[in-house]
Amino acid sequence: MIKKPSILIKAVIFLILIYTGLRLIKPPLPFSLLFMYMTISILGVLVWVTLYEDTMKEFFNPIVNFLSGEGLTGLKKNLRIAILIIFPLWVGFFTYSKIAPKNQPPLEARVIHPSPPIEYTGIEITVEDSEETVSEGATIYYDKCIFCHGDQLDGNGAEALAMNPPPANFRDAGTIAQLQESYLFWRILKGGEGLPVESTPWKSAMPPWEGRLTEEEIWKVIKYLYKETGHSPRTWK
Amino acid sequence: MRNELIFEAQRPAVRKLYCYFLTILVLLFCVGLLSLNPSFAQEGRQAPTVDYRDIPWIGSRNLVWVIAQVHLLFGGFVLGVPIFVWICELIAVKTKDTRYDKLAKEFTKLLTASFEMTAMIGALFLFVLLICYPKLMSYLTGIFLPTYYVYVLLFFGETTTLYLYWSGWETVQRRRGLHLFLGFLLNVFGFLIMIVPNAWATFQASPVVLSAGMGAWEKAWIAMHNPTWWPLNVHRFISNVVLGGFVCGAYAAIRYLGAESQEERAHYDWMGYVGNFIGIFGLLPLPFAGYWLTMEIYRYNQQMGITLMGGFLSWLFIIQAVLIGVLFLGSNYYFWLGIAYRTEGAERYKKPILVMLVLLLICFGIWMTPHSMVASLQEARQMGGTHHPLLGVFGVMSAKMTVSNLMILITFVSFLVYWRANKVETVRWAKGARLTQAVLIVGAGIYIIWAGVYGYFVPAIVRIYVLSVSQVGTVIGVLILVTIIAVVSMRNAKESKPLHWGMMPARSQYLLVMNAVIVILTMSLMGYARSASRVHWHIYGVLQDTSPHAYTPALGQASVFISISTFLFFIMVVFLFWVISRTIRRPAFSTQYFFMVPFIFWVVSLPEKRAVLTQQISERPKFFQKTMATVCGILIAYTYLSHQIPQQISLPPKQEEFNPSQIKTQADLVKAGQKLFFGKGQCALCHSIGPSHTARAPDLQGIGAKLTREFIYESLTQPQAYLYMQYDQGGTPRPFPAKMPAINKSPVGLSDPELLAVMSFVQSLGGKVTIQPEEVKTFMTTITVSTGEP
Repeated sequence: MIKKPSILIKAVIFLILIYTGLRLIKPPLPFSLLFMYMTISILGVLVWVTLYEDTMKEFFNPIVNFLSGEGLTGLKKNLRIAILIIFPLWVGFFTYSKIAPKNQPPLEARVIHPSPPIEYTGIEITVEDSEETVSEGATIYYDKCIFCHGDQLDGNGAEALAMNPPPANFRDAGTIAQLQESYLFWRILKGGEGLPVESTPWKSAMPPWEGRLTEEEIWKVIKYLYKETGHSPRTWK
Repeated sequence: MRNELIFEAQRPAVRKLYCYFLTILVLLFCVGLLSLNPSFAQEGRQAPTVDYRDIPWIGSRNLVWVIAQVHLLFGGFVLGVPIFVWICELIAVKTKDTRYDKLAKEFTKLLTASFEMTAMIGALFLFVLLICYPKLMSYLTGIFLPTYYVYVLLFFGETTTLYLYWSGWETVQRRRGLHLFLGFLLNVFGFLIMIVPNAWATFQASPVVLSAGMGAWEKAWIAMHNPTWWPLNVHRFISNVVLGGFVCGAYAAIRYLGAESQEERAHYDWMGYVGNFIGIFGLLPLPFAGYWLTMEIYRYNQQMGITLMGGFLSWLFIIQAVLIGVLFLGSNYYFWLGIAYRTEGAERYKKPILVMLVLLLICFGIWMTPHSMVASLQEARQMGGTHHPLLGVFGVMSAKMTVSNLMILITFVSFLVYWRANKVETVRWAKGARLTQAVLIVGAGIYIIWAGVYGYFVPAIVRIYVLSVSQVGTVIGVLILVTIIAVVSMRNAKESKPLHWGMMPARSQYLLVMNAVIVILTMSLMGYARSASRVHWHIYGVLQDTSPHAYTPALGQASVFISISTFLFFIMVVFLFWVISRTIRRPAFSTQYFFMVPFIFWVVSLPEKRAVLTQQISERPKFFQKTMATVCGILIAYTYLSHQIPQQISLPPKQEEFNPSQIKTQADLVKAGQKLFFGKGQCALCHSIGPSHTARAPDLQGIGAKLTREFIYESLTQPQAYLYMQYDQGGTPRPFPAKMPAINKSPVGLSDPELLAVMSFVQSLGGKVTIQPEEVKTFMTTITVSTGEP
C-alpha cells in the first residue's frame, strides 16, 4: 500500500514544478522576476497550509521534529547536524557573494520614456495632414532613419545589431503608440544627448537631428511613422 | 520668619526701593533686547530675508518630511474614525444592538487622545515649516491668508463637537437624535478641516494663475479651486476611513492577544473583524479615486504625469503593487481564517478557498511584473532589451487595471463566502438569488478580462476613458447589486450554527497588525510620490526649491524615512492606546493631565512592580514583544525591497546664470531670452508658441510683429495696465484683466537686463528685434513707460 504523501512533500513538489516551469520560459527570465514569482509561490503555500489546524500540524510537525532532533537516529541524525552546520555557512556565503566586488556591469536601470523638458510638452504638429506630407516624411525616413530603425520600422535596420540599447521598434505597441507627437518631436530633435540623467544620455546612439533636419521635416517624419505603423499618437482629447 | 518678611515688605520705604530696582531691571532688560537684535531698532526697514534655515545632522527637509507624515497619519486617523463611529452608532440605534454602541464608544475613546496628539504634532509641523522654509511659507500665506482664519474657526468647531460627542455619550443617551446630530456635525467639521489644508497642498502641485489685482478672498478662493483639489479630497476622505479601520483592527488585535477572559476575547475578536471589514471595503473604491487624481495630474501637466507614472518615480509603483498585494492577500487570509475557526464544518470550503488563493496569487504576480525589468547586462542581452517579449505584456496599464479589478472582485467573493458560511436562506427564491449572484460575479470577471485584453488593441485614449472606467464601473456595479441581492435574500436567514467569536488563532491577530502597518506604509509611500512628482519645485512651475535639499531622493533613501514615519506613528499610537486603557477618565473636559498621569503613575510603581514581575515574567504572554517584532520585520523587509530596485535621484536642473558679458550679438541676446522664457522666467508654463490646447494664456506665435517694444515691456511689468475687452461672453464687452503676474517682481523676479533679453526673444517671434546687445551691457533701461489710463 502506498502511503498518501504528506502536505509537506506536496508543497515541495509544487514549488519545484513552478520553478522548472518558470525556467522553461524562453528567453530566460531575469533573476529579479524569478525571485519574485518564487516568493509569491512560497507565500501562497504558507497561506494555504496555515489556514486549517490539521494541515498546519501536518506541514510543520515534521520540520520541527527534524530540527529539534528528538528521537532521530542514523542517517537522519547526521543529516540534521549537516544542515545545522551548512545553513549558517550558506547564509555567510550568500552575504559574501552579495557584497563581494564583481567584474560585472551594474544592473540596467534606464528609464525608457522619461518626462520631456517643459518646453516640449503639449506642442502640436504644424504640418498639414495629407498624403504629400506622409510621402515626404517617408523620403526623409529612407534617407536618414532606415539604417538603424529598419525598412520595416521595427528597429531592426542594418546597423541595429551593433547597438545597445537597440533602436526603437515603432511597430511595438509600447513605443510610439504610447506617446504624444510632441514627445517624438523632442526625441528626434535632441537625440540621445538630450535625455535626462535617469535615462543615461550617453547610452543611446540616437543622433540629435537639430540643425540637420528642419522642424517641419521632423514633423513630416512623425506623420509618416504613425501612418505607416497604423498606430495613433496618444491624445488627451 | 515669613511674617517678618511680609512685614518688612509692607513698609512704604522698602516697597519704594523694590519698585525702583524692578523698574531699572525692566528697563535694562528692554535695552538689552534692543541691542541684541538690531532689526528691532531699525523698525520699519526691511529685515534681511532668509529663504531657508537648515537643521544640523537631520536636515530640514527630512525633519519636515517625517513630522508632516506622522501628522498626516494622525490626522487621517482622527478624521477617518468618526465617519464609521457615526455609522456604527446609527446601526446601534436602528437595530438596538448594544455591541455596536459599545464599539462606537470605544473607538471614540481612542479618538479624543489621538485628536490632542494630532494637534500637538500639527503645531510642531507648523513651527518647523516656519523655521526651515520661510520663503515658501510667506508665499503661501500671501495667497491663503483668509483660509487660515477659516481653518482656526473649523478647528474650534471640530474640537468642541468632538468633546461634546464624547462626553455626552451617556448623558445624552435618552436624546439619541441630538447625539447623532453632534456626530454628524463632527464629520462635517472633519471634512472641512481636511479640505482646507488639502487646498494648500494641491496648490503646490497644480497652482492656478493668480493675477495681481485680485482681492485676498478672491485670490484664496481661486487658488483653492485648483485642478487636483477635489480628486485629492475624495481620495483622502476614503483613505482616511481605510486607515481608521485598519488601525482600529490592529488595536483590537493587541487587546485580543492580551485579553484575560473569553468574553473579552470574543469582544475584541469581533472588533478586529469590524475594523478589518471597514478597512477592506474602504479600499475597494480607492483605486477609482486614485485614478481620477492621476488623470487630473496628467491633464494639468503632462511632464508631472510622466515623472510620476513613467519617469523616475515609475519603479515606486512596483513597491506599491507589492504593498497593496500583501494587503489584499492578508485581508483575504483573515476572512478565510474566520471561516476556518469561527464557523463549524469549515472543511467544505477548502476547495473554493484554494481556487480563490490561486487566482489571487496569479493576479498578484501579474500586478508585480514590471514593464522594463531589473536585469543584468547578460540577462538583458538574452531578452533583447529590458522588456521581456513574453512577460513584458503584463507590464502595461491594461494588465494592471485588469488584475487589480479582479483582486477586488475575489476579495468580495471571499467576504461573501464568509458571510453566508453559517447561514441558511429561508426565502423561496434563494436558489435563484444564489445563481444570479454567481452569474453576475463570473460575468463581471469575464468582462474585465476581455476589456483588459481588448485594451491592447485600442488607442490609449479609449483605454483610459472607456475601458478602464468601464472595468471599475463593472466591479462597483456588481458589488452593489450582489450586496443588495444578498442582503434581501438573507433577511430572515437562519443561523445553522452560531459563529464562535474569540477562537481565532494568534497568527490572525498579527495579520491585523500587519495590515495596519502595510496601510500606513502605503499612505506614506504615496505621500512621497505625490510630493516627489513636483521634483525641485515648492510650487510647481512657480516657486523653485533652491535649498540644498531640492533634489528628490531615490526610493531606497525614501523608504528609510517612510519606515521611520511609520514606526513613529505606530509607537505613538501604541503609547496613546496604552495610556487610554489605563486612564480612569471622567467623560468630561479633563484632558490637561492626560498624557502625564498614567505615565508618572507607571514610573512610580516600577520598583514595587519589579518584585512581582520577576516571578510572573515567565508566565506572561509575550504578545507585545511579538507585535513589535512583526512591525519591525515588515519595516525591514520593506526597506530591503525598496533598495533592491533601481535607485534614481532626480537632481534639480543646473541654474543657468544670465551673463550679460557673454552677449555679443543680437542672436546671443535672443538665445538668452529664449532660455529665460522656458527657464527662469517660467513664461512657457502658460504661454505657448504655436497653437496648443494646454496653454492657459495667449499664444505668442507672431507676437513680435504686433507689439511695440514699449508695449511688451509694459505687459511684462504691469500686466493690468492695458486691459483687453472681452467679447466672447456675450452682452456688453467688459474689460478682461490678464491673469498674469508682474515678471520683474517676486516670485519670478527677472532683473532689467534679463527682461531685455526676454523682450528680444518675444520680438523675434515674427518681428524684428530692435534691442541692441549694448543696452544690456550698460545695465540701463532706456525705455520710457507710458502710464496712461487704458
